[in-house]
Amino acid sequence: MPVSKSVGARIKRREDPRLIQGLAHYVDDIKLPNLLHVAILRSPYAHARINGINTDAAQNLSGVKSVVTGDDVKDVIGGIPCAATDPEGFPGIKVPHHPVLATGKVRFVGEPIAAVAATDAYIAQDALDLIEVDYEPLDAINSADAAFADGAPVIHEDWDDNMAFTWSIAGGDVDAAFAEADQVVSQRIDHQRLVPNPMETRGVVAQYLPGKDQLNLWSSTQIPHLLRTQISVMLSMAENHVRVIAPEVGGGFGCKLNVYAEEALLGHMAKYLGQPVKWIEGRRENFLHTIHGRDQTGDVELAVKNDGTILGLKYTVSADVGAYYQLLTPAIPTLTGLMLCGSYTFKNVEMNLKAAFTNKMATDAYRGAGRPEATYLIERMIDVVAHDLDLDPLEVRRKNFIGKDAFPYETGTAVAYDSGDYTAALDKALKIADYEALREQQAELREEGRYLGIGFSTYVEICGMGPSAAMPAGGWESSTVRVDPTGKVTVLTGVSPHGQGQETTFAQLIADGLGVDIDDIRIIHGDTDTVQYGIGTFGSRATAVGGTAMVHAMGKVKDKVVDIAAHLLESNPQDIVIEDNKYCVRGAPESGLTLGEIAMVAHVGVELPEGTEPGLAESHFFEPPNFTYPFGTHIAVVEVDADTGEVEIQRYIAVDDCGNIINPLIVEGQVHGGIAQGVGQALYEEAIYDESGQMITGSFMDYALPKAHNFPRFELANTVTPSPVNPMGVKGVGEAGTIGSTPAIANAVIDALKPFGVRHIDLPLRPEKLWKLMQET
Amino acid sequence: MKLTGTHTIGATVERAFELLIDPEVLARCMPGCDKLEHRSDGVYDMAVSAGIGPVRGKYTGSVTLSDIQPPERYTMVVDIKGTTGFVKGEGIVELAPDGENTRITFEGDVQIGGPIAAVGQRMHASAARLMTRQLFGAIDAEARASEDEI
Repeated sequence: MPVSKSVGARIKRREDPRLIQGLAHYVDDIKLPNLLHVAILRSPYAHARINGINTDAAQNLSGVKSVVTGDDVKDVIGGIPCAATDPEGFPGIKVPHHPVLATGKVRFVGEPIAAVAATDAYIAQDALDLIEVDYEPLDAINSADAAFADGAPVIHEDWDDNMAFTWSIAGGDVDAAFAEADQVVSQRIDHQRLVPNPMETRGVVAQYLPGKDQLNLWSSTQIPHLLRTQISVMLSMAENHVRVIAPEVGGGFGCKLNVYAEEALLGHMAKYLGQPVKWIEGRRENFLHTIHGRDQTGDVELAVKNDGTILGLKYTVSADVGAYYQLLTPAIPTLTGLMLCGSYTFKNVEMNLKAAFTNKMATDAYRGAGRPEATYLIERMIDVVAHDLDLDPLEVRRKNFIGKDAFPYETGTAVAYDSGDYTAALDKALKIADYEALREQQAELREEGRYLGIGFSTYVEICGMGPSAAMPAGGWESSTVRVDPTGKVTVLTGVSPHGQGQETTFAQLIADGLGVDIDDIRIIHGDTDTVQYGIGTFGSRATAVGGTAMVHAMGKVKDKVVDIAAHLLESNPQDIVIEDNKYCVRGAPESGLTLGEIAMVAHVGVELPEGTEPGLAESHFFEPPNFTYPFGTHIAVVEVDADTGEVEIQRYIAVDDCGNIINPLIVEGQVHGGIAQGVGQALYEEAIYDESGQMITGSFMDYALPKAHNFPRFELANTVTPSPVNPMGVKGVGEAGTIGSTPAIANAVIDALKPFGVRHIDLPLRPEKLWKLMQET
Repeated sequence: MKLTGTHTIGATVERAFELLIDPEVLARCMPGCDKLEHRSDGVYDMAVSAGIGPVRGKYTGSVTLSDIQPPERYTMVVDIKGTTGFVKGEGIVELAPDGENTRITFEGDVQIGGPIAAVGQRMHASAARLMTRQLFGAIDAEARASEDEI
């Protein structure tokens, strides 16, 4: 009888039945007795002095329990933390105090000013209208260029200017590369500001139990443990008296990898009011006061030979990071720097970054976090090189690819790519696309005045975050695996998911590893009182790091189970095998014992081998030795309508290599969503602040998200190059779709417009922009 | 946001000017105007109800008329705010005879902030045009009605 294999099978997500049936419990589903509802007053000004706040009328409204302002909490709630401010990494970094409620001055539209707690959410909202704030408007800054301009208003008056920090990275000999070059190919590249937009906005419920001096905090977060630590510091509470629970979390994309004002504020209010409080973020609040992504503009220069060989790259860039730092703000553009060489062999590279304070919401990690910027710019520049040298973009890619025998490969930015075979993924994608036929079709259609474009992205990304030494707040992960007396398996994991399907993939690994039915396995996460400390789900790390921690813990359990089985079966541990979910002596399956039978022995504690502890539970903390580096080739085929400028995606081919695959269905789901978000950046999305610092794209009416009808059926495939970084050989796939798709679409659209002499267009590639370009020529 | 436009009022320049700076007339003609009272030297207290897209609200504040050069021009500053945001605008209104009528030209700069800025931004210009058209249309109607009375 063969061992049943869960790993690698297309198993439907075990999470989905409860989600589909409305049986999941999100923060807003939590109801507690005497619950008060909180609404937050937010600044309508981008930059203004607050000369006074009058809360009397709000306070007197029937049903209002309390109104809290910045002055009330400034001495009792610490600043909102940022974990990436080490002056060694960021020389001269300015770290402004980031209050939970503004005092004296507001610095962006949406900044919290006051909070009202009332008996229902409508009264709380009405009370906001009764708070009078005396603002003295100041000139606002809406871009890095404006922030650095002479005479610009200073946002943080502890300093003389708006330079937040600088950061540089260099490798090889850039000057020599540019001296040796036949040509220098330059282009200014913009990475527009984006809004992450998870389906579930943020939300917090806080409850204080005075008898235990315990704070229970439910939050829609990706990082319950990091949040617990930070909340305990902000509220000056002992960390072991703070319990954070991330219940069902409806998406995050990085924007819930953070510590927000409302989390500390509600914790404080629950304690001081003696009643539980709830705040659910509205969609408009989410646009204004949940972190944004990207917002870098820079000049790229490539030193190239006339045959398309790239010798070196320089990137001089400004990042608009907003008015304050959130948890990881300064770290994000540094990830761009690490990945500038892409899948290519050049090692002479230099990036110089200046980051500006502006009157906007902070930027931070949004799906891909710094790597989409790197991939977009290098993949876009490859096509610009091809354009300038009149070469096929494919030829330029092949000429510069890192060969499959070069791994592990150290890049010019001193990261070590773990494994890869970039040509294999490209060849597979070309075969699916039938590339030659596409080019022929393109030529024929051009004759008819129709504009088909073919775009490539041969990306590599950095995932499985990551070695602790390279992370701002720890990069390890933890797990506990325990077997109940009846043989049911409970797994505790520190990687609290928000849509990634760990309850399925992790159970698949356990089912195979311990020889147990998948229905007998429960994956517990997201409750700091239940689960040992963990870091969280982000940076495509859950399986590569969290899964590895679990596999190691499971290995320890299995060793013990095998020892007990050998003892009971009067055999040697090395002769015990699992067959048909029974532990038996090799060749004698009829005498096998189930995990449940062995677990009962372990718990009764009488028939154990000498010196063996009773019980069956083991933990493991895993420190990854390196990041992982997934890669792949995406090919987009688009047609641009000559009459309207509209882009139709006709085909989308994605060959992703995320190492070994545990569940192809989940991998495909992650790739689907990732592509959709990357296409959103390429074609539709842009968060715009006007000159006075007003966010003028603050609703779905004004901020376009892609919809299902914008996409063809994706043609997905994989190559499998296992990672040597973890025992499962997995790499991670949460961000690949986003990272790969933006440049593929941009390159396809610009390829379509080649007859119009188009060399580069900044994102998003909206119809009006394309139509105008087509009219100009 | 730049706001410019021209409108014709069926009255002489002198009469049109009178109507334009008469708070009672303005209170009647301004769309959504709940109150317009003279406070002091050219400063009027104003309350309006207005909506753009899904965001509807009440706004209070002031209208200040200055640099008044009858019957040719004046400068108007609007500064109102409410629970759904604020509107600050400054513009010059000029009157010129156009046959028996008066042609009004205005040119201004409007800043919109808060929730109304974030929603339906593309509708702001057309909403502003609509509201000025309603305002001057109503004043025109007043002018013609008062002429009938004479």
